[in-house]
Amino acid sequence: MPGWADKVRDIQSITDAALSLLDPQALLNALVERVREALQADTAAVLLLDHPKGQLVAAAANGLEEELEQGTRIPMGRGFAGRIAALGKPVILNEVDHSTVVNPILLAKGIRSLLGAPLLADGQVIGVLHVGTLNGRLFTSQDVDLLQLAADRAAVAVQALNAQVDRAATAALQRSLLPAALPVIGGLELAARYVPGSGNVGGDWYDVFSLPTGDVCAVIGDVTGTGLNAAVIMGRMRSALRAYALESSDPADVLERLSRKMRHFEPDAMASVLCAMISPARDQVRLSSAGHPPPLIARPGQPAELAEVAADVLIGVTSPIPRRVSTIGLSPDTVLCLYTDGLVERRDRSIDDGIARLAAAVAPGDPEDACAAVMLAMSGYVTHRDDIALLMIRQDPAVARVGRPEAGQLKEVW
Amino acid sequence: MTGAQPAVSWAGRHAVVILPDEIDITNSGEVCDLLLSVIRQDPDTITADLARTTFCDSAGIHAIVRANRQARSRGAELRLAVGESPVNRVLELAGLDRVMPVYRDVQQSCETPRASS
Repeated sequence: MPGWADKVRDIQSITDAALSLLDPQALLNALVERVREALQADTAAVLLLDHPKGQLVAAAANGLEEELEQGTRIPMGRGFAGRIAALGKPVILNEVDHSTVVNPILLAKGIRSLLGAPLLADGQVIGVLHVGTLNGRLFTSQDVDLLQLAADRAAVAVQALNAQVDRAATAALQRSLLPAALPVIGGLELAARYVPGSGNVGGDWYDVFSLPTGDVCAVIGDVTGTGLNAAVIMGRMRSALRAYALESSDPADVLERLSRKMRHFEPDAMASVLCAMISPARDQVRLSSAGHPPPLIARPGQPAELAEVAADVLIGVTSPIPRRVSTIGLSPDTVLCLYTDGLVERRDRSIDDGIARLAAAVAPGDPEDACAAVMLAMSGYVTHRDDIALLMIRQDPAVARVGRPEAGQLKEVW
Repeated sequence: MTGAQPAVSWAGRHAVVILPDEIDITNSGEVCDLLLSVIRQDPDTITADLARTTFCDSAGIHAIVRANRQARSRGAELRLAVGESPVNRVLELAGLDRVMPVYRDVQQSCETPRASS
């Protein structure tokens, strides 16, 4: 019979092997099997904490497959597993009865003794690993140590794997929301870039869409935070803003509606957003900024300059002060450059320094070329810790030559 | 956090909290917790001293916004003392200077009574 050291090695080897497989389910399945064998128990199960609901959900089981089949959910603090999660410590139950166990599956199975340990990540409980025996058993402190060791390994692995899943999901979400090809919109030429920060996709986004009025709405935004959560909030904000833009062509009104929606439904979220409404004749832009760095405007034959946009408060912040709209003229070949702070912000310099450097790099011309020139100029300047979104809009000279068609005509064309 | 640890001092019910040299995703949670712990001690006014803060990203702004929300709900006023810090510009771009009182320095904030009180 293997000694304790062998059992420890056994647990460690399985998690290392499974980690390289990058499959959370395979890892957990292998882990519960190995733990059950090592502790000579009849059942083993892993439950993971489902945060929004504060419930433990069966994730893998050996000898106790009913838990998976029936989608067992244990409320935090209740029953055996719930108690371990609430305490954050191992719990031994030498004699199972109705007062200590709420899960009917454990009772029906005839389990007599239980030992469980928490899965901890950064001091927070993320799940529970427990083993059970059909015969009464007095678990030893060595048993507790071995189970906790397995739980610790499982926690590290689950967290690493969750992060991988999160990153993949976030990247997929970003890709679906930031299509590489921008829409073809009459009177404008468009180009954009998105670069995730330090390999971690965040909540930056851009969007351009035409409206039934003939206006074109261009948006750039930056949701605070990184990872899947920021990307999910970004997705919601993007679609909410689109809906509000259909109802109102006043960019300040659109942003205030968005802010109200966020404050009510996601009070912990915060974002900076710039909303630009380009007129049907493409000769005017009305801008409203919710705490977002002002865009740059480059006119032919002139150095790019900061567009004068009133800085109103971030999305998600309550303020009695109404949001403002700033209007700027768009002449043929003028380029409007919208960006997020990741492009201009670095630790040892003022943000104005970065904006000035960006202004020097923005030139009127083909938007694709302008994007490439800006990314080249700024890539050595910033550290790429934060993600970067860049949207370049040029008033199409072809349309400018046509003059100013009526909005009604434009609607049919576009 | 880099630099000296943040410090809290009190003058009556006016608390002054010195914020770290840099505020970003790595310490914004601590900054927010620090401000919230001061707010729980029932101050009338809190001045967050950013005079020597040279960098504050959107996570830092978020920490200040959350603390401001909590302060308001408890009837306290959160003020920012910014001085010549480059953070000034960041607060301005975020529009925070329109929703929170911003002072030149801690002294000016301490000498200014609350408008509502």
